[in-house]
Amino acid sequence: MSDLAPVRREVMVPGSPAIAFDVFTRQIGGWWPIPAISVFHNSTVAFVDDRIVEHSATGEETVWGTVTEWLPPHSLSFTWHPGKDESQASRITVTFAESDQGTLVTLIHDGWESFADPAVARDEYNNGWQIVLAGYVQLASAPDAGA
Amino acid sequence: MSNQSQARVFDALGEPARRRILEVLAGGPQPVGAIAEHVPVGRSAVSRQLRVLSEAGLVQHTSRGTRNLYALAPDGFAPAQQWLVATWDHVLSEYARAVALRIEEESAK
Repeated sequence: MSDLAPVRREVMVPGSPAIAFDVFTRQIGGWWPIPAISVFHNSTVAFVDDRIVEHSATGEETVWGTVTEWLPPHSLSFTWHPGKDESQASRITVTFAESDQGTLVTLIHDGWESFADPAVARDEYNNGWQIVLAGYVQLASAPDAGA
Repeated sequence: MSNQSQARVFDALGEPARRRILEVLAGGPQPVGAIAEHVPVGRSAVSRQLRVLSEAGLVQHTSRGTRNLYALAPDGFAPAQQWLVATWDHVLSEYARAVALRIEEESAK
């Protein structure tokens, strides 16, 4: 069962990795589908220093994530927690690879199943979530799952 | 798969006691009493959390004789994964459109 593998999506875009990286980051406010996918819906989003910040029309602000690695034009990584506390962040890495037809952009969303809260991560809970998921995969993919 | 069922999976995972229950059930099907021994919130709270997990499709219960057993549901995480895939496909198609527009603009200069 691959349900708990990272979510991986690819898209080919025309042009160089430099342009693809620039559109993804500096121009994110121009293409991100805010009405469908955002916290406030009537708002704008931008990379501000090392954070991805949404500003509502009424002056509210919320942070979607923090950049953890910035390697233009090759890749960037950021934490991801729109509408949630940063303790519930998952991780995203986007890579930009030059190809014959343009640039292959790959987005990997990892750790999305882990909503572990450090505040409650007691010793007994360390790595527990990983064990849960490993066990879940094993059990749910067994022929007599749920029997 | 409705947005509602996907939201239920994410919401269900957001609570420590519920994650602990999933961890216990990863070891195999259990009755409520046995689960409660491992989750320090009391038996009635465990029953309540099991109901939330069942409604989210992460847990199912079966009767074995007179015993009511709870187990992880197969493919319980599938709605969450499907939601993420659809979301990122939507985001990336908007992004690809913006890159194409930028290339057009630059070549028109």
